[in-house]
Amino acid sequence: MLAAGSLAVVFEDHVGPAFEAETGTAVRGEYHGSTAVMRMITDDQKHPDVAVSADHRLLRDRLYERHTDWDVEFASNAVGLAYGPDTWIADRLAAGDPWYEVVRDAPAGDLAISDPALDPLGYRAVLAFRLAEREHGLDDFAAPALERAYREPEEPQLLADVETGNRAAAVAYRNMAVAHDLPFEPFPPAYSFADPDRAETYASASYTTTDGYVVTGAPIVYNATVLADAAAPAAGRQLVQFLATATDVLRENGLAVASFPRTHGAVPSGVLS
Amino acid sequence: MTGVERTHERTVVDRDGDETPALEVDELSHRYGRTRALADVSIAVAPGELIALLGPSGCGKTTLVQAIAGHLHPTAGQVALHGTTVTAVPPESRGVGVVFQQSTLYPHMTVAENVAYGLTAQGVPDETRAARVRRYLELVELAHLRAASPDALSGGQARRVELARALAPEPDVLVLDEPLSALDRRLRVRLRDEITRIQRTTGVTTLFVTHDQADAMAVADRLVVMRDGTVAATGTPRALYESPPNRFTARFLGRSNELAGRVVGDDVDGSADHALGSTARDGELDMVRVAIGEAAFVVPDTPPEADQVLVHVRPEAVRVAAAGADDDHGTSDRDGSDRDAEGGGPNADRDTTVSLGGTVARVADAGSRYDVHVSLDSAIAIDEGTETPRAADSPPTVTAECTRCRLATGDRVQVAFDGRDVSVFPRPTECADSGGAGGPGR
Amino acid sequence: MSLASETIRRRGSWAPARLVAGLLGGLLVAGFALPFAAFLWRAGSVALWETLAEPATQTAIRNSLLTAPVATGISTALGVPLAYVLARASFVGKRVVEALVILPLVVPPVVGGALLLSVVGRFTPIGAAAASAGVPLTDSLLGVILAQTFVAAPFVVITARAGFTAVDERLEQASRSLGHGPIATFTNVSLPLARGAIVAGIVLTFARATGEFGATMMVAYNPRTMPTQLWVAFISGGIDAIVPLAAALLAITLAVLALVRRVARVPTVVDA
Repeated sequence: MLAAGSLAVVFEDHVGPAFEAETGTAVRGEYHGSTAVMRMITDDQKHPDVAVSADHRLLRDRLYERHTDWDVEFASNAVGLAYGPDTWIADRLAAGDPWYEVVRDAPAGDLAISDPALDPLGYRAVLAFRLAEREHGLDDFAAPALERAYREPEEPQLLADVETGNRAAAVAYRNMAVAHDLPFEPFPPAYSFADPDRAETYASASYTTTDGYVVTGAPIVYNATVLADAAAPAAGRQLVQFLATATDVLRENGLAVASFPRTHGAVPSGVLS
Repeated sequence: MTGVERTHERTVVDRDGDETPALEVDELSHRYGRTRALADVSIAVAPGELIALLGPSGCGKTTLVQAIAGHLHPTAGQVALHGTTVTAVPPESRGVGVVFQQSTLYPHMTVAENVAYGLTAQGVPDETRAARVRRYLELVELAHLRAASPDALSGGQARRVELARALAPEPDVLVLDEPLSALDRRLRVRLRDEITRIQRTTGVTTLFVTHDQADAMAVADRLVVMRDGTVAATGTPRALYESPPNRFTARFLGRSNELAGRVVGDDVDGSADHALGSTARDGELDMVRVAIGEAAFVVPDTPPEADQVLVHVRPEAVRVAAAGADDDHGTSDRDGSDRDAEGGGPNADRDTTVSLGGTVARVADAGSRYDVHVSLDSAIAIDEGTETPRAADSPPTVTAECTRCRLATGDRVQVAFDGRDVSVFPRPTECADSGGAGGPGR
Repeated sequence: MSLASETIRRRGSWAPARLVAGLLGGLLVAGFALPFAAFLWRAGSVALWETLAEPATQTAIRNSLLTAPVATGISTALGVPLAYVLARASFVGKRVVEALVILPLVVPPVVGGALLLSVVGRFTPIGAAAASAGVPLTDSLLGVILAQTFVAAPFVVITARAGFTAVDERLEQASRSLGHGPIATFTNVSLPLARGAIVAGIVLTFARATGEFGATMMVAYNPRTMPTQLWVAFISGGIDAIVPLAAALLAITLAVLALVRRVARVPTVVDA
């Protein structure tokens, strides 16, 4: 299984062992940025049975037709600011300052975002900043703030840096902050990408990746599929089914599961039917 | 396999020709890239002989050793051992023992293990091996050090252990490549004698390679002198020393005087005038008449193929005496009867002695003798550095040895030597003029 | 000047040189020591033994202990003869071979992994053949060994070559003239005399193979070795999560070093 890095804890510590206990099949997970996951599959470098993405449109865009024709959406997530509990940022936020004021005042390198070219979390940070600018009527906020932010190519490194004190804060998912035990300041629903009803608002911001792929803002939806050339398709479908129905586990780990799971495309029998 | 075929003339060193040589090198040539290291070298060594291969550094000695031992495949020519061609045979199958200039004792083995190393390859059973090791260590008088580590040995001891190691497998041929060069003089002389003794005791055919003529002449049955990749001369030490076949050998084997001379007239009675020297007649030795300045004398030697010659004579054969005194300082060692035996009494045309006048330039005290450097009046000596005749304003000197003379700088003297002690070589011509006798201008 | 004062003066003139050497060396050692010190300081507040007892951790340790020695063994068995050839022989294309040996060191491990995949990936001729023969070269311990060998073998080749070059060729020639063929000479003379360098190379290779991650991640993310498991733990739980595994990795490396020292009786980088 190739999965987005933000799901590492969920799979390794919870879904994986539970699935094995129930079905006897072990989950061998590999975790990379979702963009990297898709690329490895389309480049024929890796051949997983199951692919899990942190951006449902990314998966459909890259994998549909050649590698699969269906997917199951199973959770959402919220984007926000994870920060070190002993930093000046913590103090400012505790005092009630809005996060964008704090970010505006942050010196270069204090804030980290994931690399937009490699990770949906990265371009979500970009989109969130742009939406925030519009939402709060901020003058020239997004561009300079993003300029000052450090782009971390390795998603897991993002919060590790905050933990060790290398960075003061990072734009991250709620479930990541939960896993790392870090204080989390969620963005307002207008640009947290957690509300499926605000799809249009989210769509008003866009970002172009280095390989020309235009991303428009959208609610965060995690989806999973079984690839057409999977070596163990039956087990794969079992896992997707299991994942989709493990709502308690997902919620405990900081993911949002209201209005999930949902199917898309030609879902095979045995999966949520 | 058949022996090597001799198809044409070359410098072959051969003994009686009836026994198969233990080692034979035939027209061996080798190039390193474009550089020629050896050119058509041919040598034959009889079983039990100790041949010294003598030559200055860079003359190809080491290349020859490597080819004989098998560590190098020559670009042309053959190597044969006891009649069998071995040029393409790898070193481990040749039975040629080698001792190099630097120590190659194995530091991770004891002395005894080193000596036994060659025996383990032969599959010699343990007991025989132990006995052989003991025997050879005793031969080099180091049995008491059998358990020592090579780093604990002195230079001389290490050399002897290497000798024992090379001999223990009882090879057909032993090659010693400058074995004494790394040792100090006293040790060198001692070890030189050891090597001779050991060689006589074991009877192993030996090739002793060196650049030191004293070492070579002290140990060798026969000498092979090499220069620039070719054989310059071969023969017994005495023969080469007294009658060197070419100028290089003459100068390399010992101290020498060289005087410019020319071949004059014809000394054989009754013959018509020949422009150049004399030719051999039946029943007579070769002779050539040579003049140095105005003094002419006869040299019993094959006439050289030029009329401008170098007269070579060793200092110990040159007698010096104060002018006017009768020359009996040292004449006593010359046997007058030889001269008479050539046919009739002293005959001007057959006179082999020559006497030249000069002034003592310097007397050097060399402890066991005096070296008297004499400036000659008329002769032209050859400047050793440039190989061209000196300018007239720089007086030529001849060095004579003298044990009991009492001469001082400035004394007028007569310098004399005998044609029988002389070697005559063609004089090398200068590039600028043809057949130049030289002169003041250069 | 008396001998005593001469000695004292000479001893004094050594002091500045030693001081400089000590300072420079001290900087390097500090560079190694400080991260470990900081790391171990964290270890005090972490559930060391529980994590080590987890099945995933145990499996990862077991996998590392299975694969790294095999990779080191293959690297040594193939690399030492290659090193000898490079040290002694000259042949057409030698420069190319030398460059190939260094290549895995220069290339980032992840790229190395991608290179390997292009040769033994599941749908390449070799990979497919191996998979159908029941010995898959990706996503398997074999794949791990392949990745480890690729990145770590250059170490033993390079150090062994230096060791062989340092052996005077005449020692080998003497052995040949004493009747031993090329292989016997290699075994009796070259190998023993180059032993120190070779053992150092083996230690380096093992250390590199054990710590190898980038290429392994590409070729065989699963089954997990210690570095891979460490990475997943890092993704999941951050620095604190990796402390037990990193401590285990350190302990194993030290144990191997001590073992090698005892067996080979050769001082490695750790000399007592």
